[in-house]
Amino acid sequence: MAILLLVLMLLSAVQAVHATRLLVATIWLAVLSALLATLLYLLGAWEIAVIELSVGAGLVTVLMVFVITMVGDVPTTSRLAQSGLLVGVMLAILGLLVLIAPSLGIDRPTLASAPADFATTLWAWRGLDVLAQIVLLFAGVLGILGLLSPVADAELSSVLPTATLASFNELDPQWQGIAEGQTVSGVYASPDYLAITEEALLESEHVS
Amino acid sequence: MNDLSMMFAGSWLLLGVGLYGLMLAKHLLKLMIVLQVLVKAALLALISAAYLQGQGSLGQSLALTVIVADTLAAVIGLALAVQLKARMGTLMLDEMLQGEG
Repeated sequence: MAILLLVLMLLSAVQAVHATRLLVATIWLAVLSALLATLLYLLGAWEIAVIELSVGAGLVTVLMVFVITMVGDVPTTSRLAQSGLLVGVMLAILGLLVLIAPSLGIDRPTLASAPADFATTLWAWRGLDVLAQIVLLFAGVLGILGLLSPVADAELSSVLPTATLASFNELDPQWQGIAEGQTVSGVYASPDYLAITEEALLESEHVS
Repeated sequence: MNDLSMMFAGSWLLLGVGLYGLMLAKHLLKLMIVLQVLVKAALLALISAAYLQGQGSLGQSLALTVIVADTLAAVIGLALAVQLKARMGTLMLDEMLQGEG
């Protein structure tokens, strides 16, 4: 049963990597998460199996679908990378080595502490980990707010001037007839764009 | 050779698939998906190694931190992708690198 799950996981991982459309790749990733959760449950890690299922097959999949809807699903063709195959083969050989390691007589060190249940271990021994996770979560939320807020739009426009200027290289015919005192709004109000339009207007006046 | 050793070896194969995907990925969101595959391989290795040692609950506590950190990294990567699409107009890695040159 475990071998079957492992083979299916590898197949879905390969499909997720090779999928042409991003939505299809996301669905294969959700399948991989569900198979991993089942495998972890069979190994005895019940709590992590449940968390992996809800986070991997639920949260991450929904978020990916959101973002793909926002940015658009561009079909990409995958090419066979020779060096990639070599890496895969090399790691497969390493995996086989790990498989036959017990017969090679490699001793594994054993820990001396007595095992306890998940709740005791998490809250009593790894409490600092939980605190670090909380800090990580808050840092992540602040990071998202900083990235997606309207203020960030203006700041990023000043940080990446080449991106905004490149799209204004050719004067938009809509703005060629700017009259004095006419108000402009949004990105067209940035000082770089106004400088370009003023320059272009002066040049056109000189010519005519 | 029991199931746990096989799972530990299987995590290596999943890592190989992830690294292969890392070389194939041309779109930023595909890169995010491949990152998730790589972290799942690490998670499987962590849990199976912990159970091989008889320290299952310790492995699960560490795996919880890994899941939280990986989800956060994916979420922030997706937010970055949204902003990059708005700024650069494209998410193909080749085109984004060409724009800087």
